[in-house]
Amino acid sequence: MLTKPLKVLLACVVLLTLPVVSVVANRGYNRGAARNYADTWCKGRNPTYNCGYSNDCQNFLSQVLNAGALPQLKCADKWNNSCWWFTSCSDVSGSWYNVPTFNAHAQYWNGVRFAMQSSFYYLGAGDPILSRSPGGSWNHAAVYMGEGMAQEGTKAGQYCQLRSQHTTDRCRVWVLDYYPPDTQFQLWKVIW
Amino acid sequence: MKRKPFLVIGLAMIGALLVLGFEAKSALHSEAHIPSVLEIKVSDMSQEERTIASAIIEAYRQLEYATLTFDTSKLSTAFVDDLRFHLPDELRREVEIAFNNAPDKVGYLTYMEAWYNNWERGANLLEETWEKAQKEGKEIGLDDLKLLEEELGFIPAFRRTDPMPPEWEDWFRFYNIDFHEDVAVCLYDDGGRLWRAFLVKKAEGWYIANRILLEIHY
Repeated sequence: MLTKPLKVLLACVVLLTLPVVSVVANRGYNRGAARNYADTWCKGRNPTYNCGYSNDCQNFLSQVLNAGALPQLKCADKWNNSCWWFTSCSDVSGSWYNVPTFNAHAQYWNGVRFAMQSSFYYLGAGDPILSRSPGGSWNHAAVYMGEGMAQEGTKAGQYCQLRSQHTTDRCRVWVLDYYPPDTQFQLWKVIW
Repeated sequence: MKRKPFLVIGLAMIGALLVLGFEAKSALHSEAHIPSVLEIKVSDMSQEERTIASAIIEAYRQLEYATLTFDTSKLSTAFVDDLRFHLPDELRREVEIAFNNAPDKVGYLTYMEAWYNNWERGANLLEETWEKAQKEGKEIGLDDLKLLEEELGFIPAFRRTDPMPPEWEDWFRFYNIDFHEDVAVCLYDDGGRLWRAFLVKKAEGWYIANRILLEIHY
C-alpha cells in the first residue's frame, strides 16, 4: 500500500494539476453555441446585456463570443486592451461594447485567442467581422454565421456565406450585403 | 368655476410638451432613421436631380474599380478637389500619411486617392507578413501588427477581392437634393450608410466635392 508521504505527494500532484486540466478541458470555442445564441437574439435584446448602448453591434458580438465560451478576462482598467468582460452594465470592459477597443483587444491576443484572416473563406460560425468606412474609424461589428440559407437581404432564400448583427438588426444575411465597395474589413478567427 | 381655465391651460401645456417633446426627439434621429416614404423615386425626379443621382452611382462604380484594383486614376472622373470644402483634420491626416504632406489645396478627390493608396500599402505589407507567418506555421503576432502599424501610421486591412453583387445599385435611396448655383447637396443612402454629399458642377458634369458620413447601418 502507499505510504503516507507518497499519499500526500500524490494529493499535491492531483491538486496542482487539476486547474491546468480544467483550463485545457475548457479550451475550444463552441461555435454551435455561439451560432445558436446569435440566431436567438439577432432580432431581440437579451435583458442581461441590454445596457442602452446607442449602437449595439459590438455588445451583440461580445455576447455571441461569450456564448461560445471564449473566456472573459477581467482587469482593473476597463480600457486596457488585454481585457474583455461583462459582469453588469456598470462593470464592463470597453472592449465589450466599443468596436475600436475590441479590435485592439483582438490584435493584442492575435495568435492566442484570435487570428487575423485575409478572407471570409477562412472564418467559422461565431467569428467577428469588423468594418470601416472612409471618414470613420473601425465602427461596425458583425458575426460570421457560416454558410447556409439567407433569411433576409438581397440573397434571401439563397445558399451563401452569412452574417448576423445588431444596430441595424439582421439575421443571416449574405455576408457582403449592404457593405458598399469602399468598406474595409478586419476578419478575426477565434482560435481559442 | 375658477378651475376650468386652469384645466384648459394645464391640458394645453401637457399637449405642448408632448408635441414639442416628440419633435425634439425626432429631430435628433431624423437623419438616422429616414422613413422610406421620404425617398425620392427616380421616376419623380427632375432631370437635374436625376443627373445628380447618376453622378453619385457612377462615383460608386469608380470606387468599386479602385477597391478591386487599387488603381485610383479613374476617381477623378467622379470626385474633385474644391477649395470651398475643407477636409477635416482626420481626413487630412490620411492624406499626410499617403503623400507625406497635405497642402491647403487638397480636397475630397485627394482624400479618396489617399484612402486607396494607404489601403493598398497596408494590404501589401499585411499579405507579406501573413504569408511569412503561414510559411512558418503560425499566425501574425501582436509584435508583427505593432510593427506594421508603426510603419504605416494606421491599422492595415486586407484587400477586397469580391466584386459587388449585381443588385447593388438597387440599394441606393435618395432623400433630398438641393441646388445652390453650381453646388448640389444630396442626402442619400448607399445601402449601408447615410451620407450628405456636396457635388459641384463643372463643364463636363457633376463631381462629388465632399461627403459627410451621417450614419452607418450596413
